[in-house]
Amino acid sequence: MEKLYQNIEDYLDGNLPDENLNDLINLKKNNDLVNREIQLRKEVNLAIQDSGMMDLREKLEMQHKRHVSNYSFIHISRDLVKSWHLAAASFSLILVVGGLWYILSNKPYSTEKLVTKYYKPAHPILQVRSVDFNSDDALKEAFNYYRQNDYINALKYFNSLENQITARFYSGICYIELEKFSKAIEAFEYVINDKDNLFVEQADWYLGLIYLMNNQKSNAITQFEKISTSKSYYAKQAVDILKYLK
Amino acid sequence: MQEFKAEEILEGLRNRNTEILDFIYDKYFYQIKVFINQNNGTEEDAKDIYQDAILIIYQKIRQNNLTLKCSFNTYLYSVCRLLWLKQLEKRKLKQVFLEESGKFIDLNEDILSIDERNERYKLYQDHFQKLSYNCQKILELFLARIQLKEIAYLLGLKSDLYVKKRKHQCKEKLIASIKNDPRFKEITN
Repeated sequence: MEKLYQNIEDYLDGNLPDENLNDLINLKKNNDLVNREIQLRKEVNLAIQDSGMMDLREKLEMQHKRHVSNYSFIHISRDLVKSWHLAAASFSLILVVGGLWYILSNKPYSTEKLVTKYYKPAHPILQVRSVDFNSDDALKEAFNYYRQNDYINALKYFNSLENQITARFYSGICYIELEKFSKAIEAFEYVINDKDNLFVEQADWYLGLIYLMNNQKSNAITQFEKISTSKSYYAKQAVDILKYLK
Repeated sequence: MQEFKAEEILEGLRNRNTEILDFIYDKYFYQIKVFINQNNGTEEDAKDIYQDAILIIYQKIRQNNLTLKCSFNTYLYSVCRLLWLKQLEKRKLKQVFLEESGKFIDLNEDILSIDERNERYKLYQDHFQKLSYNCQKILELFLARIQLKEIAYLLGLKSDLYVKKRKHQCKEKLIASIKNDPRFKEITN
C-alpha cells in the first residue's frame, strides 16, 4: 500500500517513471478504490493551495465571534442595569475603571513587558550547511556574524545582497537589534510587499513588535488585528497582545 | 452605516474585504437568522448556513460565474434558503411550507454542488491547518512547484532528498488524519 501511495503522489507531481506510469493508469481504470484514492489526493492538493477559501472562512468565523461577544456584552449590561444587583454592578464598574486606570498608568511598563515576552530575534536559516550554495557566500558570511550577535557586520553582508528577500528579512532583525526602527520597518515592508515569499508572516509579526517598541500603539493595534484575523502562525499570539493593548 | 452597491459588494467579496464582509453581516444576517429560527433551526445553524452561503457566492464570483438578476439581499437569502432546505431534508424535517422572511429566487443545482465541494475542502483544510508549521510550508512550497533544493534552502533542511522524504511524511500524515475524521465517511458516502 505504501508503495502504491508513493506512486500516486509521484504521478500527481508528474514524477512517476514511465515503467510505473502504465501500471498505475491501468489500475486507475480498473480499480475503483485506486481511482478514488487518486481523486482524493488530487482534491486535497487543490484544497490546500486555496488560501483564499481558508482566509475567508477564518474571517467569517472571527466576524461571528466578534458579533457574539458584542451581543453578549450588551445583554449582560442590560440585565445588570435592570436588576436589583445594581450595587454589585457599580462595584464591578469601580473595579473595571480601577483596572483600566492601572493599565493606562502603567502603559510603558506593560508595553516593555509585552516586547520582552514576545520578541525574539529570528533563528538563522542554513543551520545545516550540507547543501552547497556557491552563489550565496555573502549570505553565509552574514549568518556567521548574525549567529554571533554581531549585527553590524551581519548587516554589511545582508545589505550587499540588496533586494534578496532572505537578506532583507534578516537585515530587518539586525536593525531591530541595533534599535534603528525606521530602517527595520523599511526592510519588513519590503518583504511584506513582495508577498510571494516565506517570510511574510514573520515580517508582519516583527513589524507589529517594532510598533510596540516604538510606542506607536495605534499602528501596533492595526498590525496585530491584521495578524489575528489571518491564518498566520502568530495569530493566537497577536490576539493575546491585543488583549493587553485594548 | 455606509451603503454599498451590488457591484461593490461582489468586488469586495472577491477580495475578501473585511469592511464589505462586515457590511453584509450587519445588514443581512439578521434576516437569515429569523428565517432559520422560524424553520426549526438554531442560532448555530443560522451561522453555519450564512457562512456556507457567503463561501458559495465567493466561489461563484471567483469563477466569474455570478451575474445578479436580483438584489444581493435576495440572492443571499435564496442561497441560504436552498441550503437550509437541503439541511432540513437531511434531518428529515422537510416542510412543504416554509416560513419566509424575505424575497427569494429559484437557483440552479450548481449551488449545491459547490456547497458539497466546499464541505470537502473544509475537511481537508481543517486537517492541513493542524499540521506543524514546517509540514504546512513544505507542502505549500512543493505544490507551488518550488524546486526541492530551494525548499531545503528556505526551510534550513539538510538536502533536497530530505525535503522529498519530509514532504511524503507530511502528506501521508495529512491523508491519514483526513480519513480518520468521522466527517470523511459522511462526505464520501
